Amino acid sequence: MNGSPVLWCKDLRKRFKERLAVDGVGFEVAPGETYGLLGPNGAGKTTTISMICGLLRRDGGEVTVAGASLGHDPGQVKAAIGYVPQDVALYPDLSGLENLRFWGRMYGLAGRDLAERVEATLEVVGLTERAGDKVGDYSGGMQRRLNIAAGMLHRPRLLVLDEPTAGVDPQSRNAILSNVEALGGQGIAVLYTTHYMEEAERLCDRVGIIDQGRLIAEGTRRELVARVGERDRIELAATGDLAALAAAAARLEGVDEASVVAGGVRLVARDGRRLLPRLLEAAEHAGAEVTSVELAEPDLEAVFLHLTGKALRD
Amino acid sequence: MVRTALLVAGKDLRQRLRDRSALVIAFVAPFVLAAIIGLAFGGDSAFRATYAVADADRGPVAAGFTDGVLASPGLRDLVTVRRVDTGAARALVERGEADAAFLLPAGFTASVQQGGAATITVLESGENPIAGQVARSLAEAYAAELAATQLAVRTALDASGQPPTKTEARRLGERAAAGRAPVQLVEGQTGGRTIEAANYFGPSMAIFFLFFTVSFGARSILAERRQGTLRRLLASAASPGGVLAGKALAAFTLGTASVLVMWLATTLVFGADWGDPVAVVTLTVSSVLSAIGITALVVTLARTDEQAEGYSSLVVFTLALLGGNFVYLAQLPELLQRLSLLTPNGWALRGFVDLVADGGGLSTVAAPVAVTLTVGLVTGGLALYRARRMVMA
Repeated sequence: MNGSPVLWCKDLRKRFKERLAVDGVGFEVAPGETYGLLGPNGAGKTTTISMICGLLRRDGGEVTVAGASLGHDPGQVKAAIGYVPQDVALYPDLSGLENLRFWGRMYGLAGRDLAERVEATLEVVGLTERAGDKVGDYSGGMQRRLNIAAGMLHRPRLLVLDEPTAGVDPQSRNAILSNVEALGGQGIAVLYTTHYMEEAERLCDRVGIIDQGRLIAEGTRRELVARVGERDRIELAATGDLAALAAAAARLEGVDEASVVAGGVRLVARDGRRLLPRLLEAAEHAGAEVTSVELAEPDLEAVFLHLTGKALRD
Repeated sequence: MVRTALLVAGKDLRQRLRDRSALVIAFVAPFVLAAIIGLAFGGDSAFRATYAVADADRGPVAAGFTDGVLASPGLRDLVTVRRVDTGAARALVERGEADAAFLLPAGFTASVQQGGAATITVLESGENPIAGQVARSLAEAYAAELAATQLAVRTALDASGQPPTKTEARRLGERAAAGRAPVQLVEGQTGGRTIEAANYFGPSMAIFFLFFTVSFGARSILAERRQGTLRRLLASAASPGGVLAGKALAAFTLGTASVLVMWLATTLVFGADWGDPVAVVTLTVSSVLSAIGITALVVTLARTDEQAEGYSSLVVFTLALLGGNFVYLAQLPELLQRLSLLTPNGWALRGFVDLVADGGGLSTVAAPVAVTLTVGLVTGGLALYRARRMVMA
């Protein structure tokens, strides 16, 4: 982690009547780092970020943003955060430009500074041409992009994005993810909640996996995968003596399982990428011709499945 | 907090001014409806009548009616009297040039002096039923007054055992004429001055639509909560108090502008005179505050926009009906006139009418201002308490 964290939270707890929504969650986000909070719907992601943003009273725990304690100086904490809610939170009867100006002023911007930042932010999200149009006339994807723009307008130290791509078409989703990817380069710390594994894998430097209100694992993708001991799956489509191929593969170091399946051989191995050259050599010696190779490395979905016994989207 | 309030108010006003229906409700509808209702009521709220009087008697008891009752302070500004003979009186009524005619027969005074019946014939044109009804009431009341006075004089005479002298009999007529004419209803409401329709229905419609105009302030909290902008506002370090103050400020600005524009429009177009400007502005401000307080309280009782709209409409129409926004307060039954005092718009309207009728200043509207201000502060306080909980939820 680079430097002192922009966000530091510890032992966050929140109970709604009988239900413990968040139970002892804590993590850090460094400057320029994108931290993903990954979990299924109802896992406690939105409750956690609501407490971090000061929108929900905590039952316990501490939050510090940019050196300011939420308990002692909520105003300073809020000023350091850019919050992008899950749903589009804009005024549909105002134009994109008017919306950004309003939200900029709410964060203390004014005059030339406000005008310049609005112009630059519209450029970043690709809405300069449509800035004068009413937001209600925007497509869903454009509204989502403006939604993010409103959160990053005041150049916050920490940008909190709560499932910003929910319900967005693939093209707009890609544009949004590109925008978020660019933020890390600007030194902005990003806290990104999602239940899309592929988004977390693409964007996040580190991921915290949350389920039933608890942070059950945390680290880089590789650390998480290593931590749960997941192995690669290799599918070899081949012709010739498949049994001999399977036997030869099973003798290779790093291969844990090898079995013949229809049209080929399936292997379970550690570090499949390194194994591939030796595997192809073994196939040749076994008298089999490999026509295609499919390597499936373990992903966060698999990690989540391993940790919780259920799929992310259950 | 002040900066937040100003920013939210500015944004809310911008949104409202973009909304054509809001502009119609705030500025167009009150004027149009006031004009229509004013025309329907003939352009004059106070009682007016033309009576033909045929006095064939010319005696003191008859004069008590023609010179006493019909020329009493409460009636002389409202009634035009045409003194003619019996035939001309009938003709005037038949042609509709007089709403009614009083025929006082020859020997009317003598009959009364001798203890006989006092007969005043009333002819009605039928074109102005209220004027005819008033004419009948005037005649019946004078006859009843004469009968009561006759009884008193007769009792006194019987006690003395002396027959009535001519002087005593004349006094009988004079005392009857001095009796109070049954015109207190009209006099009491207008202070003896007439109320032009524009002077009544201008403020009346302004107050009625004011409630709709300002209700957006509280309802926009529900809208912001629904569209997620309230959450975003609070994430930006805006305090709940600042947000609520901004919404109240926007509602106050638009509500006040709505009434003042109505004042200006009815003055320019209909030549209305709402009275002392300082008093008008003061009463407008207190009325706007009461409207904001009531509508905000009603809206905070709702969970959805639809509920809020339903509750608001129900309350606003009930207040308008009770408060006399659609009919002249003076024409309402006494019970309803009393009930109107339970509503802030009833008080506000009373204040505006008093300003026109009495021509006073701030002292004239002191009570309406105090009542509407109190209503505004009490309901606004309760609404603020509920709205803060709503915002923080």
